[in-house]
Formats: sequence, C-alpha cells, structure tokens
Amino acid sequence: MEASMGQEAALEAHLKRIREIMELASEFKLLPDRAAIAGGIAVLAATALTWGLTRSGDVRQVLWLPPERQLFVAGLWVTVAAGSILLHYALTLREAYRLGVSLQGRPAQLVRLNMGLPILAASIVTLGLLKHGYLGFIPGLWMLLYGIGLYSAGQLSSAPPRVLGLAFMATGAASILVVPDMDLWLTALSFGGYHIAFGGYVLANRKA
Amino acid sequence: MSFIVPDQLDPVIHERVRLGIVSALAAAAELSFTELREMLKVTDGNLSVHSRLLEEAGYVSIAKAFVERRPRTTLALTQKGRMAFQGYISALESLVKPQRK
Repeated sequence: MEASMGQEAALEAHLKRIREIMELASEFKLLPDRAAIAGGIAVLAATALTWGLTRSGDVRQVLWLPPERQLFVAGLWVTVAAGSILLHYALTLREAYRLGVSLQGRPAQLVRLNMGLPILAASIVTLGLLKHGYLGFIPGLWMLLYGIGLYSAGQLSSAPPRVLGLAFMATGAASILVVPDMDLWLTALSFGGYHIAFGGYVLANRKA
Repeated sequence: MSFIVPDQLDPVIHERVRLGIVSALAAAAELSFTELREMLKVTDGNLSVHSRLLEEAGYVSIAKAFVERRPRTTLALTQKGRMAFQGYISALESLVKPQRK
C-alpha cells in the first residue's frame, strides 16, 4: 500500500522524530559545573604559587629552583590535576544518582575513552620529557591533548564541550608555537579561566 | 496522528509518546523514568500510562529499585520490542519510499 502525499509527509516527520530522539538518547548530558569552577580556581591558585617561586611566566624557570622547590611545584600541579579529576568524578556520580542516569551506558563509556586516552598520552609524553630534563612545551602539550579529548568527547554531547576543546587546542598551539615563554599564563587562562567560564555557563543554563 | 494508520504500522508503537519511548530505548541500553520524562517532555502520568502499555505488549521491561532510599524506575527494550521497532522502521520506510513500477 502506498501512502498519499499528506500521509507521506506525516510519515517522514515520524522518521525524523525517531532519529532526533535516538540522537538525544545517545548524548552524554552530565557536564561539569561546580567541579569545573573549583578546578579552575585551584589552577589559578597553583599558577600564583608557581609564579611566586619563579617570578616568571616561563615554566622552564622551575628548573632553576632548588630541588626541594622543584618537587614542591611538581607535587602541587599533580595534586591540582588529580584533585580536579576526583572532584569532577565524585560530583558527576552524585548528579547521576540524583537524575537516575547510568554511567555504565555506551555514551558515558565513550566519553571516558575519548577523554582518558589523550590524558594518558599527555602523561606518557610528559614523563618522557621530564626524564630528559625538559620542561618546555609540557603545558602546551596538555592544553592541546586535553582539548582534543574534549572535542572528541563533545561529539557525544552538546556543543559547549566542543567549543571548550577548540579553545584549549588553539591556546595549546599558541603556547607551543608562538609564545613558549608565557606558558604559565596560558595555563592560567586555559585550565583556570576556560574551566571557570565553562562551569559558570553550564550552571547558568542548568538553572534557566 | 491525524490520518488513517496504514495497516503495516504496529499500533502499539504508532503513538507519539510510545514511539518516543521505544526510539529512545533503542538508542540507549536503559533509561530512567526521569530521563525519559525530560527527554520526551511529558508528564509523569502520561509516561506511566504509555510505559505500562508497552510493558503489557512485551516491548519494554520496567525495573523498580531503591537507591539511597529513593525509588528509581528504569526501562529497557525487550528483544520482542527491539524486533517490533525494527519492523516498524522498515514498514515506515517502505511506505515513505515505495517501489515505483
């Protein structure tokens, strides 16, 4: 049986609705708000402490510090990174429970993979660079790979994570290619400022 | 749905809210009642009625549990429901793009 023209239009609309709902159901919606803001503030604090020790926007100056202060700076940034990730995970878990959202579903798994692999790559390259006594490009590398992770994970979510990812990639590229002696300030701008702005945006839209 | 339903379309699925439920569950392994309600922008009562109809038809399974003393209801498509949805899509596509002689 063939559908009349009017019926065909209505049936096309049904197919379109089915596709839209399936895309919506596949999206990952738990975007960090408070965790992003807290993480951003922690980065700004760590930036201030690092600058207080080196009095320079170039992270390579850390290598001129006494060994115990170098260790302090390394521990500071590892703590900020690890603490931010843990806080984000804890708050996401709490939000997931509140909304009855599963974090074991395919969208959440793919987000973890898309974020986790670039972070793993950045960690490995960082260790390699540090092993050879080289600190330069590390912040830019992290901005670039973190941005790639955000953009990839954002394919399974809404637009804001993708925009954030592009911003990180652009800043990372600038840090490596254009102004390598300002990587501390670009770290504050990206991991600090962008996260605070993103978290504020998500929070404001959630309440709207 | 204001036109005469073609015979090929499963009347259990061929309703706006039920079609939305089945489509969403076809894309996600399971969804909570809250997620479905927010996604489809329907009321609790409306979603409850249509979910129950789908469950009675054997297309959807509904599981109720308590998480931190709060009730949580999750829905998932059964194998019968998945096949019914695939059949519905095929029928819909064949009606929209009929073979021309």
